Formats: sequence, C-alpha cells, structure tokens
Amino acid sequence: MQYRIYDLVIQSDQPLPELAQCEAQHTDLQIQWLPAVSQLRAVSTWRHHWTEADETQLSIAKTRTGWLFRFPEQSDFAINAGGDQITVTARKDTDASTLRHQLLDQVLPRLMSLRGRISLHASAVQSPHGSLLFVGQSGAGKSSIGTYLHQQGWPLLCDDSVILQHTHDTIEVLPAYPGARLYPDSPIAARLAIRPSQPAIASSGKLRFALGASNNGQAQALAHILLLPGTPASQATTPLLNPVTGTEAVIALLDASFQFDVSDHDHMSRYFGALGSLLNQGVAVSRLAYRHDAACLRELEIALTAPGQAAPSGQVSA
Amino acid sequence: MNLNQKVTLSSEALSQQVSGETVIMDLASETYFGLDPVGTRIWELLQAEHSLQSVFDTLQQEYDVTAATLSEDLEYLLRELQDAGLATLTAP
Repeated sequence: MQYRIYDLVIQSDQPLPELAQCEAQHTDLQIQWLPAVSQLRAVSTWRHHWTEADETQLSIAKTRTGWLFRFPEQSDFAINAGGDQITVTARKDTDASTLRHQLLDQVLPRLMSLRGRISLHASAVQSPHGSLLFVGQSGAGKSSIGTYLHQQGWPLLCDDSVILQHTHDTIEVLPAYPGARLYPDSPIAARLAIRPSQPAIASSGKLRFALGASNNGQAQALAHILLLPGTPASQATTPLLNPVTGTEAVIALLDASFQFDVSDHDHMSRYFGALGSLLNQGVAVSRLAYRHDAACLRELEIALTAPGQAAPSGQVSA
Repeated sequence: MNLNQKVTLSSEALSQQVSGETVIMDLASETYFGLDPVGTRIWELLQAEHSLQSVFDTLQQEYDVTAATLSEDLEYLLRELQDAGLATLTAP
C-alpha cells in the first residue's frame, strides 16, 4: 500500500490509516514490519538519548547498515544508510496505534532531518495570509489552537510536524499529514462535532480526529511562526505577539527541531547552516502570550487576521 | 590580560550568523549561546586569528574604544567562552 506524507510516497506492508492512500509510479521510502518479538535485541553503544523528566523516551545507535531508533521496552526502527528503508520490530505488548504514532510523529520527522530538510515540531493552519505555524513542546497547545482555528474556517494542515523550505522568494511549509491529536478532556475536543476516527493512542491517551484534508504533498507559503509558551498560563487578557529575531529565533527553532543524530558533526552543521540561511531570508517569528480559553482564542484569531501580523515570510523583513 | 596567549576554539562548536548576531551550538554539551554584533565580530576574528594580540589590534582599529575598555570587554567574553568550554587560552 502506498501513502503520502510530507512530499514523500511511502510504501508500507501494514495499513497506515492516518495517511492518505495514493498510487504513484515511484516510492521514496519503504516501511517493512517484522513479526513482533518478546525482547528487543541488545545494543552495546547508543549515540544519543532523548529524555523527558529524566526518563529516556527515544535512543539512537549507529549500526553496521545505518541507524537504529529505539523506544525503550517498545520498539525498534532500523533505518538503512540511504534513509529510504525503515524496518520496524516491536515487542508483542506494543499496540499498533502506538507504533504508528512513533513512526509518523517521531521517526519520520527525524528522518526528514537526515534527508537535509528543516523539520519542526509544530502545528499548521492555512490563514487568509498564508500558513501559520504554532511551535511548542508537547502540551503547549499546538493541537488545540490549530483545531480551534480549523473550526473557524482556517484549514488545519497538520498538528505536529512540518518541513520548512525555501523556494524562489518564498518560505514554504510542507505539512506532514492532516488530522489532530487531542486529549479526551480537552475543551476543544469536547466541542468538535465529529467523533475520533481512531481509538486513543495507547502511549499518550490522545484521540485522533480526522480534520483537514491531505495536501497531496503541496507546500504552502509561510506567513508567520508563532512560538507558544511551555504552558498556556498567560494572564494576558488579549493575546500578545512579540517579534523575535536573530539568535533568539534561531535557538527557539533549534529547540523545536526534530533532530536525527545530534552526535553527527556534519549533519548538525548542515542543519544549523540551513536553518540560519532560512531565517536570514526574513521569516516572521513571534512569541505568543495567550490565555487558554475560548475568548482569548477568538481574540487571537482576530489578531492573526490583521494584515500586518501575518504578512508572508520571505517577502518582508522579520 | 596577556595578549600573547593563543586562543583555540572548540571543534565541537558550530556557529551561524543571523541578522548580524551569532548562535553558537556546542555539540559536546548540546547547549546554545548567543552573541551580539560585537561578540559576533570577536568570534569571527577568533576563528580566523589564533593570536589574541592580532584580534585585539584589529578590534582597536574597527571600534572607537580605549585600549583599557577593549581589554576588559575582550577578557570578559573570553572568560565566558572558556567557562562554556568553547575556547581555550594557552601561553605562547
């Protein structure tokens, strides 16, 4: 079965219902799912661990044939040296929704970074002025804002991962795939007229909602990148947008990047250079302070509709 | 400050200029550092010149600053870079 994500055509021998199916003459990436195992294989040396609250969430190792991503006690994603084949091995007690979440929302965004793309942890909506990105860590409100704006008529392009690219005079956004992942108790989820299209992702408890439509690999012009605070606890009665430039913008976007092998000097150097080059084109970046309620989200929509706030990036200075 | 010292920048430090400022990424500690435009110029010179004296001389030509102030500012930045593991100073 062939599917589309970003501008890639991938082939998977297991269904990926989150993605749009397609029929293409070529395949950019092959996903092979091996039978589940009782124990994941031993790995002697890890290159890097990504941690959260001192707990390892993901590790990467260099192997004889490429790289290995491991979600501890759950699954391995072996990537070949060419970056065009992924072999998945999971423990028997790892459920399918968690595996797909790991593949689509962690491994593939990092693989895009290996392929030389600028891969950001962000949701994206299509505003009247172009694409708006909402960048932030998990729990910052990316999906909630994106879903809210979708309900107001600004199509949700994706809720977790995008590629930023520079084409001619325009900075473009290439969304991963449509849909939103929301916690069942999210006020935004409760107001959605549609029901979740997928059961909860076991590892996170989030529900998947089929919102938006596949963009068929088409990029959209970027209007503005909005950096969300770690927790949406601002007391601001109206949303505040504070422009960010220079080193602060670079560091914020590096923090929000899906990295591949952070111990690889050449890879990091290329990624760093590409991000700096992109920002030098004049990407509009702002910090957003907002209160996480419907009234403030409505104010945010109005603020983002103002022409000066969302002028397309690459055509104005940041 | 002994201007005869030589400065060696960490091979783990990557830098990138944006809007006249510089971000340094230290791969060893996985931390980032920001330099303002003057710090950016000093970093540029440190990358090209290993002799502190030549860096000092160039800065004195480029900026309207007394030798004492320049020496203080340069020493401050070098101490910050050393503390962050981004630069090493060695005696001649």
